[in-house]
Amino acid sequence: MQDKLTNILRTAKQQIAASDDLTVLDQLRVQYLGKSGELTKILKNLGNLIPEERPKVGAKVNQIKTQLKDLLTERHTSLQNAALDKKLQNEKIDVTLPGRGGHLGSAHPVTQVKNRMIDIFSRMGFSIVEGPEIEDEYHNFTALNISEHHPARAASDTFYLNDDRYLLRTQTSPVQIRAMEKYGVPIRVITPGKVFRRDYDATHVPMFHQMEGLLVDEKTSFADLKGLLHNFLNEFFEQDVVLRFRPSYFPFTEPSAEVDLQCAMCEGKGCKLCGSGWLEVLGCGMVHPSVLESAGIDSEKYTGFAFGIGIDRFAMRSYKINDLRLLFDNDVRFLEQF
Amino acid sequence: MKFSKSWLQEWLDVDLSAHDMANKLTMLGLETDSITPVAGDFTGVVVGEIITANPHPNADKLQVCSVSIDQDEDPLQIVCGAPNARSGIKVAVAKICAKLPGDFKIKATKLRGVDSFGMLCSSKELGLSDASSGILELPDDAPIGKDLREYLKLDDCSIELELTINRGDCLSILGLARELAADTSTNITPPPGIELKTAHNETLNITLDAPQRCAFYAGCIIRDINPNAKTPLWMIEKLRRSGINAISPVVDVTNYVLLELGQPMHAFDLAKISGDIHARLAKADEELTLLDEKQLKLTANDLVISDDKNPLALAGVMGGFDSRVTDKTMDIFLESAWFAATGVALSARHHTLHTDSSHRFERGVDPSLPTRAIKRAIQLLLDIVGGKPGPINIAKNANELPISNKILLRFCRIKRLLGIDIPKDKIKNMLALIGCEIISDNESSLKVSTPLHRFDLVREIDLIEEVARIYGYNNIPEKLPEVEVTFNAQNKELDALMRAHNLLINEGYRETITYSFVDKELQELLDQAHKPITLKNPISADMGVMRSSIWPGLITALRYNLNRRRRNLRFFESGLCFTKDKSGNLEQELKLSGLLYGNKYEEQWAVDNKIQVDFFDLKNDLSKLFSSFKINENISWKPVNHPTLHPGKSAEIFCNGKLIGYCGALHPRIQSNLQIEKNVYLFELKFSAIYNTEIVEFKPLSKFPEVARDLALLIDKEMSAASLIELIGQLSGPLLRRVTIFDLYEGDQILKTKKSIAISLQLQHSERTLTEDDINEIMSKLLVGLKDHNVLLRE
Repeated sequence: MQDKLTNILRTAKQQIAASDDLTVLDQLRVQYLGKSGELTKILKNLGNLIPEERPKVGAKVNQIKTQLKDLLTERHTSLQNAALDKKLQNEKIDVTLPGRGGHLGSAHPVTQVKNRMIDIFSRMGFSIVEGPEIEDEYHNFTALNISEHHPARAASDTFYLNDDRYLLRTQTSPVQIRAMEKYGVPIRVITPGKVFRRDYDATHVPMFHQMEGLLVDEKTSFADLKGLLHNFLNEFFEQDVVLRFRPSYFPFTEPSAEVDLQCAMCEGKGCKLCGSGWLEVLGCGMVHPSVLESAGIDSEKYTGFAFGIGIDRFAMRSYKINDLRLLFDNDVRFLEQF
Repeated sequence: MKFSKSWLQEWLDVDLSAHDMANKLTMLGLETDSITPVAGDFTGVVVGEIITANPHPNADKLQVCSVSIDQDEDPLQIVCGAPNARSGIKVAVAKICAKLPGDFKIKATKLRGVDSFGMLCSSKELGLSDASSGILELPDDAPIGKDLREYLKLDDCSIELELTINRGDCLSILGLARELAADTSTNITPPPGIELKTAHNETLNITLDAPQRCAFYAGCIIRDINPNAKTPLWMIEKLRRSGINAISPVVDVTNYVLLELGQPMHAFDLAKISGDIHARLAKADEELTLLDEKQLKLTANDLVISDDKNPLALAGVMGGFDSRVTDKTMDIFLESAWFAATGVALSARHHTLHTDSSHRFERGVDPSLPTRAIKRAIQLLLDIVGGKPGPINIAKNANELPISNKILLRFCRIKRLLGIDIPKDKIKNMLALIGCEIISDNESSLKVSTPLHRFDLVREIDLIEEVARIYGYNNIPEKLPEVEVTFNAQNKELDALMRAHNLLINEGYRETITYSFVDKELQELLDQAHKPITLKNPISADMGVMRSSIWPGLITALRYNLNRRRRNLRFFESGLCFTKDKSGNLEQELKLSGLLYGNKYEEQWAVDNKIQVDFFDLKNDLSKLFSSFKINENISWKPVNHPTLHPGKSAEIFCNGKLIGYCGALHPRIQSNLQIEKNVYLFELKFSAIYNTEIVEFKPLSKFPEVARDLALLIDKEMSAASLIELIGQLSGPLLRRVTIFDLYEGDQILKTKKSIAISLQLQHSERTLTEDDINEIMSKLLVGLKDHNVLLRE
């Protein structure tokens, strides 16, 4: 009897291991463990054995049943997994194919640079003020201390409407005048926007973008102007830049300065990229007392500074764009790069 | 202002390299534009003399010259093709092994069978000029054998400055020397003057009829000049290196003085002047032909220098043609005057003239200069053209001449404006260096008198700038403003605009920036409602009017890209547009516009690439935009007859009943007019009307389920979806949550006058679950109501 059981176990083990689908496996379960399976049969017939053999054989059969159950479960799981693996293998796609649907658009590089500047100045507590692009002579010139005979007023430099009272603003400074008229002082604003000058060649376009700033209060000095602009440029270029401030002239500021950025390539020695070693980046100065007075502000009590940054030139520098005119051609091959 | 570095160096007590000089000037606020060598890069060229020049045996145009470059050695044989090569002249000789510009080495050679041991050079070949008509002729006293670079002092640079308009005083060697001397705390050394002796007593009477315009006029007659005299090479060279071509000795001298001292001068041919000199306003319709032969019609605003009969010159701008000095002129009348800046500017601008003279007068010329300048000019003329000078006759109106300004300078203001304490002595010293005089001083301030050449020093702030400039901007320390910590006002419109930009970018639109001035015809084609606002002086006709809409810009960008074979395009732009209202007032309004063109998707593998964009793609993008501002519920779309748009595919958009914009397909007639192949979809919104900063109010969520009922309805073709949905809303009562259209059919299966529309109703009660009876009641009421409006269930 013992031999018979050993044979059953051995044969069953071999058959389970050899089974390769779930149906065959189920048949084996029935064959050995089912109600009329071989092992069940032996248990049913235990009574035919001599009494002292019965418990031994019973125990042995149960042990074999447990063993076969475990083997069948194990084999079942492994066959199930294999079947799933095979199914999934058939569902395989080429993940390197492109995705489906519409494409992403793009923001114009000038807008991106403008927003970056707005962000930096906002963090420094400046408010953003915008104003009209068609201006009157008073706000664009007179209030900015630009005399009636100043060359900038000539029709060769400034666009006028047929109605001579109006012109296209040549700088965003008139917005500063309007802001001072409206909000008074102390004031801390930036005035981004389009400006217009009658120039059109490889390095000039008749419309471009400026970001001007104005800070007027009871304390501000040229030293503050230098510090603030240096901080701004460090922030914008994301590195500690070297600057030089050199005297210049604008009717609406005094002292006036041009700010040059030391060329990062040659460290100021002069190279092909920069020429002299320095790149002109912006104009600035202390607000001229006449300008404050035009806006009805006591120039003894209040002082302030103003600065003007060419957004388009900063965009060109940031993105290494070599031709200003590309900015306004709106060629998609250009726009989609930003 | 362009000048020769070595000329300026002659005036200085301190030696500066060209680079240092340029750098110092730049940091003084006189920006250097360029530094260029005054001659090409060459070596081995010496002064020589042509001893003999004989015809070449084998060539008509060549000569065989014998040239001496060393007194002690035999002359060299050099073959030369220049027509002016002749015996007795001094020339520039490139010896064997000389190197000329362009790395050109001189070797012994044979020209048409004759040996040649060197080359006679033209000024062009030496990089001294852009053109030349023969070999360079040197002065008779040029020393034979002397290196040419040394002899002509060619190791020099031209420095070009870009001067700001307030610094007219720096438009001369004198002015620049003054600045550098102040910067280096040294003195300047002007060329020595000599005592002038008059040779006769003739003068012309001078009357100042418009003293506000001309308050000082110095004149001098010089008789018997040598009409054959030549301008010396040193003067030609200095002029050339300062950007002025030599013309004739008399003109060259006036130009030389202009550059040296900054005083514009003029010389007349005395024989052409009849009677006295008058500085007067022109009579209306008087005419004058200028030196450049341009004919002017003068106005009563023009100041002229005239004789008893006719205008001779446009004062301070240009001399007249008839009274000009020619190579026959024997006697001259020399003018050195002070003309008021605004008057010269007025004349120059009116006649669109710009000369070296008007350039200086417009910026202001030191009223003490004319006397100094006329003496200097007479001295130079006597050296060069000889002649007999008469006395200098001066007419003057002292009341109209500028005087020094007296300015109070307070130390506390210097500190306030610059943020630093500068010792009083240092301030006084710096002001003295720039020519200011300290009239008085006390603990808190100085009283300062400004130099006559500094027209820009008018009020205290001007002196503070001078202090900062001489102190050095870069020596002022940096600090940060001490401001009160306050919230800056938020610019809600700009924030909203950027949100709209981002949404459109996510929908595939690219931002364009187009010009604010556009082509008039294109604008009139695209906006027939507004009369264009025209520019008086546009840069070109296609930039002639201010945009009243962004559509012309977008269409231009579309055509630009279609021409570059792009096929599917989506653009948007925001910016001001310009119109006039009914009463003619100018309006500048922020608009947000967009354009959709071509296929819905770029070519790709997994979608139908042929689907073209249509009205509903555009509408969906706009609905998303409105939803992002939480106003989509308040928006209504109404069919519109807009002359720019397709009559059946366009809508006007209302927000709470207020018109906020238009959208639709470009009118096919305009589309074909512009030679655009496919439909163009456009929108334009008044941005201020769409952004909304109201905070949303929360609506409680219902715990009870929503029930859906679908209906297929047959309605008149003319009935709009919006009115059907509105009707269903009215008939269904408060439990209707949403109506969705999920199909639309027009075709053979139904009457031609009808369309079938499939809708889904979502019903919900906020406090209980809806029963079948509730729903049936609503539905049957709805269907009965619809039937009354001729809306039937589709069988």
